[in-house]
Amino acid sequence: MAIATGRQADKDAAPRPAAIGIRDVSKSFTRRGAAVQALEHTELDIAPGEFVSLIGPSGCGKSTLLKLVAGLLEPTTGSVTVDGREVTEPLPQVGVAFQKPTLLRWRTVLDNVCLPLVIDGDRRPESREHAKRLLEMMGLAGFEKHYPRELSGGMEQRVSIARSLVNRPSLLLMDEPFGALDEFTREDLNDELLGMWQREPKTVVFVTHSISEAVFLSDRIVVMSARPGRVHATVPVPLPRPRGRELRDDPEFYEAIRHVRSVLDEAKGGGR
Amino acid sequence: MKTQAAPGKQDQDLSSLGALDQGGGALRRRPDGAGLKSAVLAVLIFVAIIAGWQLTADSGLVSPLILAPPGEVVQVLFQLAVDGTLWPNLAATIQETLLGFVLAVVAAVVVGSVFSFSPILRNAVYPFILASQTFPKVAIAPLIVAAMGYGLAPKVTLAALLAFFPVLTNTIAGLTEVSEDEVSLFRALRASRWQELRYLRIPNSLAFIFPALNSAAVLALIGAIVGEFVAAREGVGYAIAQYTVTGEVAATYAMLIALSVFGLLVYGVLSLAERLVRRAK
Repeated sequence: MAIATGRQADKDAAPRPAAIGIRDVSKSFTRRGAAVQALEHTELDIAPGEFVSLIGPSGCGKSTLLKLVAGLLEPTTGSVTVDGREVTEPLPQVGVAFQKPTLLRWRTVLDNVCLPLVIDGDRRPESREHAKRLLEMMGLAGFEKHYPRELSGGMEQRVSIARSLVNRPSLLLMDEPFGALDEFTREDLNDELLGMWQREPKTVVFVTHSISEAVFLSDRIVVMSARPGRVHATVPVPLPRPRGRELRDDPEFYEAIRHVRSVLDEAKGGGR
Repeated sequence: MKTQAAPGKQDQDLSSLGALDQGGGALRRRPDGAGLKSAVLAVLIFVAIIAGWQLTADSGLVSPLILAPPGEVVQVLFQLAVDGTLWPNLAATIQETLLGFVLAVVAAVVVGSVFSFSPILRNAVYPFILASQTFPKVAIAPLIVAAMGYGLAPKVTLAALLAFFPVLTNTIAGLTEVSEDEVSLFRALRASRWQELRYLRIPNSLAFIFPALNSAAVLALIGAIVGEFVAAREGVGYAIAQYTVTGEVAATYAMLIALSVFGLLVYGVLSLAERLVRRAK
């Protein structure tokens, strides 16, 4: 009994952020009979509580790397660890947000957010309250009973992010979650994501195509190069936190963007 | 695998493109008063059909052995209802249709579920089912009657045979056609296979199965009527065959009207069931 309540209490408190270790990871696929090297000799360490973006030209394996950490793919060689434990299957402390919102169209907004709870067998009312609070924080108060088809793309993505957070994960993996959104909606969601992260610290790995988004959000940007995919460089973002929307007008912000772009150009050129 | 429209799917694709913003929901709703306009138009069309029917019957262009005027049909329908000829025949056909329909749906959902779990079995057996579907089953009606006699069994069998296939294909489609992202989501959530079925595949399949039920009901009715045409002691198909031989044209039409009312009723019940199931989800 004491153990049970202990675990329950653990679940409600914000868990300690997770650490990630990626050791000499390679991943190859067979596509139409031909072997494709998606990742080669990739090394990366992510500290607990860090916000890291993966950026690079298409085909650089950034989504593959994310899926390896998520346990949705297995590395061909090398190992991925989360909190020192080797990832062989999806881990319970990990939340995942996909490029598409991937909401179940027959479930209401609130029921979509609660899906991870249902799968976990967590039927406590306070967990449902937590889901409602998350929706509120994402600016979706009053939309609990709506169905996904009644929402805009941006709203759907907010629901999807609330869903990825409802289990209080210590590690959040986001695969271009705002890629399909317009600039304004994207900036709003960046602000909200950052607000959430500052309130409840967790490790975030964020795949994106947008340099400004990566700079705005991250502590560190991992620039990858393609064919075969590998880590080209790691660029720290020295901008102070907490960051708010006013940062977007800051010359330092532009300077950081310029720097990342030059590293990215290098990576695209295949230069090493 | 051919499938019928899954209505939810399109909506999802549209909104995930982000093409619709906050006002999107309102755009899909019908403008005010459109429902009333449609209803008025429907009544007008109905009146036009009856008037056209009456005029054609009056004009003498079509033999009264083929076309009875609507007034007479209604009168005969009323008469058949009062003297009790209508009910046993209608009841027999309804019983055959419903039994065949239920049998087909249960069998198709069970077989479809098994197939969706075993691609090997599906690929092995599917060609045979497909082959059995490409020949007109109506053509084996006399054989079935010869094998099963004059009673209920051959009609139910025919009804079930006809209704089986659309439900089967749509069950398989509904259970297997889930997006890769949805499967990844459930894997990332560490869902068991049962949970994936319960929370993803079964709800997904309902959007496919319900449209198939409507065509299955119509096909079951066709099966029952054909069975009655071949050999029967009662039933709407039997009555129609009799009336056609004896030249009672109005009675034939009266039976057809009774059938279409039954068809509408089935459609209404299925729509209601769909709404209830969706709400329960």
